[in-house]
Amino acid sequence: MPNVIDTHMHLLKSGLGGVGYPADSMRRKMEAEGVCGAWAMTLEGCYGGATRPWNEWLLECTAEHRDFFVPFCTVDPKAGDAAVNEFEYFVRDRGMRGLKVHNWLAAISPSDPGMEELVAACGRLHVPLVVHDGTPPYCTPLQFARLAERHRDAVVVLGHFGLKDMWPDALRAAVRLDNVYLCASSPHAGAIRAALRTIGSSRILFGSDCGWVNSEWYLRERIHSIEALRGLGVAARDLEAILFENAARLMTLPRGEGKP
Amino acid sequence: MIIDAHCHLADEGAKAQTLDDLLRQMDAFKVDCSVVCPSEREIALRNREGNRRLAALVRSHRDRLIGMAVANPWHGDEALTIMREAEELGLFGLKVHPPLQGMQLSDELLDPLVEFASGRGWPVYCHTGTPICSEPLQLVELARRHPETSVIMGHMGWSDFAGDVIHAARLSPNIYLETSHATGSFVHAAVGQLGSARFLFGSDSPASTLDAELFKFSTVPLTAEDRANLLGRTAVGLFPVPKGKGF
Repeated sequence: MPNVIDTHMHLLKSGLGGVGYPADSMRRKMEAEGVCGAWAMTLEGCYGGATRPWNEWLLECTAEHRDFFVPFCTVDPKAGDAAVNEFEYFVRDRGMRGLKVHNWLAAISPSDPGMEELVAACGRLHVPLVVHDGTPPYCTPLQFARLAERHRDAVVVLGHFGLKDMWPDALRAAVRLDNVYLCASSPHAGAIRAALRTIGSSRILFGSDCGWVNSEWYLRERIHSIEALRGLGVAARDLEAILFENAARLMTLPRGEGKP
Repeated sequence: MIIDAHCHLADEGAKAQTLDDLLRQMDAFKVDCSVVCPSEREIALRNREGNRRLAALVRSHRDRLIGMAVANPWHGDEALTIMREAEELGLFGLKVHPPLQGMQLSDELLDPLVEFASGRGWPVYCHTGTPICSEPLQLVELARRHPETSVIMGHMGWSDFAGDVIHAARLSPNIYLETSHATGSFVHAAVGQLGSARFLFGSDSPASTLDAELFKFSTVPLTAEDRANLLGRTAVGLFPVPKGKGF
């Protein structure tokens, strides 16, 4: 079984369709699949509006699992300075260690000035930004690349590697900007192989985007989609980098840190 | 018995895959027969060249491969000539890819080609999941205009349009669903809503892998009947699967 850090997953309070997984249950399911750490994000908070309660909820439900879940803050970029203040508070004072923004769900363009300030704050605070990408009109890879180019001290993780239609633009961004990382949370083997040929494996991350109903099925499927690349000639060291090492380098877990 | 209802044989581009590579993967994962499509350039522009190249590859392995024809509808009457030639070459079925071919799936521009396919009992495979031009509900428009044609929703809306997929399939009973890139749990849920007789397994290799696309069905609790339909039986009803490969 591989050693895996999941850099894109959600903890849902109620779940879609009313079925959610509490943190301890989700952890058990993830560990059973070889996952030793996870960057955890809310989903409900991604819709924007009042995000503070969701950040508080995420901290509360992961409090007993900080050796496994790395809590990411979520704010609404439409809130301007208030969003930046909330983000800084949850990182500096409450121990959150990254920012997740879902511009499609929050209904705000990455080109909005509010996003600019949040990316700048990620650079100041030395925490990564994970964004939903691949879905026009508010989540195209080059919209985020523009921000990453202006804030080279910020690590910008394209949370879906451009999805099916826009992965070439995601890869173009990563070729040009070494602060852009690609999270392979969709099963597009062709895109991953193209990235390995052009930028190598050091900025490709594994993410499952799990947290939904039947997450264990989904997680197993996602991990296997990466492992299946071995059958196409992808080197074991590249798969290890994608599944574990790159994420471990970006975000050391407080305890445990998984198995090297 | 496994039939891969959608994959590519291409010399170049994102869908590059050699015949040897495909056959090796088919053997490794016990795939009996694959329905193959040309390269992206050939789907978009060099239709005749792609059909001929594909037909030559299929001819060498008729017991394992079925080739789908392509013709960009913007060629007008010439597109029908391309299709007639593809028929003579032994290809079967029409592949439609709006993002590469430059129209919407609902566009009447496609009607002559779909009528050509329908007249021969060919299925029409349509890429879906790309907004503004390849949406499941746009497919419904096409399918409703051609109720006698078997229309395949390629990739089941590919994640972004998951919410539309079951509605679309219910609106037009001649729509079949091809499973590449859809999650196992989504396919499982959709089979529960629509019945497995409308589902076809596809890998879209090399964009995805046979390994990953088959593995996802090992994680979900499908019945033996559903699994048989999805992995091959539905495809046998739509494609001329070589003798000895059917059920």
